[in-house]
Amino acid sequence: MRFRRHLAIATCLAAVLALAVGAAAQSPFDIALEAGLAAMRANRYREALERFREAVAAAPDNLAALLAQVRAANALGEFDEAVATARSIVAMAAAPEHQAWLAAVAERAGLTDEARAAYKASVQGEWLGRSDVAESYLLFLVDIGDHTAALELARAEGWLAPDRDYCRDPLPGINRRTGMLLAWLVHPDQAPCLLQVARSLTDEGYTRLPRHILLDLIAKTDDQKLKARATAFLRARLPQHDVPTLAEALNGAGYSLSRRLQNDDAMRAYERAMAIDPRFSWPPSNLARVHINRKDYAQALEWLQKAVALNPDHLRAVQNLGWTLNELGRRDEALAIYQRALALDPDDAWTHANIGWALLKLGRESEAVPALQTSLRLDPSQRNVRNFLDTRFGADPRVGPSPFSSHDR
Amino acid sequence: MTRAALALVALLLAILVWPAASAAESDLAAQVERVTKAYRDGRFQDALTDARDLVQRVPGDPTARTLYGSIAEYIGEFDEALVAYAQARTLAPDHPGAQFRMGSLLVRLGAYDQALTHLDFFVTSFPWEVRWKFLNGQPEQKAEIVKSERGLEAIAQLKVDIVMEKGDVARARTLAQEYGLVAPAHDYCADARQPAGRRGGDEQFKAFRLAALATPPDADCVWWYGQWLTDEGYVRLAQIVVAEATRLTTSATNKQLGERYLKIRLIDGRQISKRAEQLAIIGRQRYLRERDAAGATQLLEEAIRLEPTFPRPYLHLARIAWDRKEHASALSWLERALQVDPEHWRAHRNLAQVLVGLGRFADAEPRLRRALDLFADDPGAHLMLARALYAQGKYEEYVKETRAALQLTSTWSKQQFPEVRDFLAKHEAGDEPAGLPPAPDPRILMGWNQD
Repeated sequence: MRFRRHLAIATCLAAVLALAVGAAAQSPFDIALEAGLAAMRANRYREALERFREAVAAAPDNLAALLAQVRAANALGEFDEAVATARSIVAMAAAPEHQAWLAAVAERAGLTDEARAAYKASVQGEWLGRSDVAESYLLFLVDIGDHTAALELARAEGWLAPDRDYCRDPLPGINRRTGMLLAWLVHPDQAPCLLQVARSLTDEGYTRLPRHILLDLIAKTDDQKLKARATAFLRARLPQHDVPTLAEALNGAGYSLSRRLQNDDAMRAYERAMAIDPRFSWPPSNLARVHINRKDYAQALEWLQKAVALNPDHLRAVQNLGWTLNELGRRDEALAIYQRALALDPDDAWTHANIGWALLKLGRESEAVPALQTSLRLDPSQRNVRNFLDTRFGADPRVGPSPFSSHDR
Repeated sequence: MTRAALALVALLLAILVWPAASAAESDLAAQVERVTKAYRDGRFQDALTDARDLVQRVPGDPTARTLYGSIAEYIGEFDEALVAYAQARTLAPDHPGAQFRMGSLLVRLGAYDQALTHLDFFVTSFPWEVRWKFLNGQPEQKAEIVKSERGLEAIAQLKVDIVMEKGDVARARTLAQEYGLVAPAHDYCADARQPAGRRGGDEQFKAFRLAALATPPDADCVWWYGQWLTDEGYVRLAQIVVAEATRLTTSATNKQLGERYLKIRLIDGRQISKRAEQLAIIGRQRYLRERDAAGATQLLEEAIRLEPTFPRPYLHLARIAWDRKEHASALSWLERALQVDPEHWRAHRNLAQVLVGLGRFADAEPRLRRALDLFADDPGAHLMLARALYAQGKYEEYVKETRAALQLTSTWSKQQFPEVRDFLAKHEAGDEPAGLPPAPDPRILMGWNQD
């Protein structure tokens, strides 16, 4: 997510914290801070936040503790607390890196004006990590629809050049995607790479921005094939409405927490996201994934049915619904749902593979094998599918002329 | 493009880089997309037709011809592929994709020396220093290049396979060492014998292959590698590897086993056309993986025309006929397989299996006895024989064969076959069960499967 950009800041912070911890004796502050940092390292953010609050209570002016509190609160999706703490840091020391933290958490909390002001302040001076923040600022401006300001920033940063094709020519020194995003601002009528940009943003949890990019691409491109692909992606992978920033950010926090096995906190974040935007189908779908990971398929089914009811074209939710029904032994229903997933994306290797596995469980091997074969042709890296087919039929000699080449993928 | 040429589907990668700047090019890209789509969906005949159309539309484009050739090669239309690659090379003599594909196809056709020449030519697509080291460097330089260039590693591996298939096993081992594919004194056989665990089939296969290429070679591992190749249908290479294992072993019993294996599994070491071998294995995969009976039949019949005494295509055609419920045709193909190779264990076994399936137990019995005489460690054949004997009222022999099968499976299989045990127990208790004894057909040891 966006916070990866602040890795450099976090590294500095860690160094500062290590110094702070090493310098003092084991006061209640030290004990709390150290315990908090240990909890952070173990991804136990809730516990970390508690300890950092204690540390801040013991030493309210300690920047290291305050920054740690911002990080933990942000990870948990507690954006109000993160913003309040970041504000107090900036009030104490308005360094650009502190402004960057405030900008990031204010953006996620949906506090657009405050985020803009903090971003602007953070890119004023020269400091380690500044260029990453400038890219985040650009993304923020594009996301809120202020293309004029985004272009001004790009010009100030020296990213614009006459006659440059931003889809084709990477900009030295900045992220490839940021460079391609400029294609939208500068030559939107000739920007086929925007589909790739939208895909990448979607995979990172953005919803509104890729949606707007795709709607514009579909309206402006003359390339019928690109138009069709963009339309299919928009339909299957993105919500059909503009999701509020806070709901999007909470869903992102939930996803990140879930990946770090902080399932209770993840579920809390998803529930808050649903409360803010009851039409948003991603949080219930992601919440179902938490239950799937716990093998609680009955609970998963409830959430997936809700997600699919909210958006029948939500591909991931439909796929997971098929998976869950299959795990519950309701294989015929699973197969019907997988067919819906195929209609949304006929080239999805995962769906073909799962149709194959479900058919196998039903004893319909002669139908299962072609489905698995199709899946493997779409994505040759699927080791389990290939192992199954090769064990059954021997390695496929068509992929290479000698025994080694037909086993070397 | 160098890497692209190494993937099967030069076609898939070619598609990804196809430019589409103008409307006409966009139309062309759509045509390429049609080819890919048909390929991905397993509609190979459509893919080939679309590829032919593509070449008509851009006759001067070597990439289009290479794509067309790749599809033709993939589905076993070797003559068409040969022409397409040759035309691509005429249009662009330095086109690395066409060079590599041509080399690949020539391996399938058994033109090994020509294939090696093309592969060396393909290497010229690499920077001068890299290719010089690969072709002319000291062994340590070759090894260094092979380690750092994935494309050249694939070429090195392919060359080793080709040299081995030419019958020069010692040279293949030397090459493998020169390219750093095997290290001296490393016990690859011990690696290969490690339990499979999370290792996939590809990794295990490669481990046995390295063991066969190691110096000094371990006869047992060479033997296992030969059996693996036999299962996969690489008959020519399997004959060489099994003969090598037989030569290497110091055990008189194993020598006998090796000779017998060559006789009953590998057509007594008789050399067959490489093209026929490739058509047989591609035809089999087309049937099993895509259920393309018509396409497979065409390839298998062509294999028979090329090599009438090669029994495997007959067996595969029998399988297709059986699945289509064309029982007389299935029997006929199997009988023809036995006519061309009367000692072929699998032909006896499959014929017996069909006869059992048709309820012709008296006819099946001598076939099954012959199959078991040729290879006794086959629990499925014992169980089929048991069923045939029971059906004929030969209960004592039924018991004997069932026990033999259970004894075998208890030695090396996790399967317990409770239904077989249950039927036997009831029979022995005098509680005559209804129907005939079940005859499941468990997987046999490596080297005795897949045909």
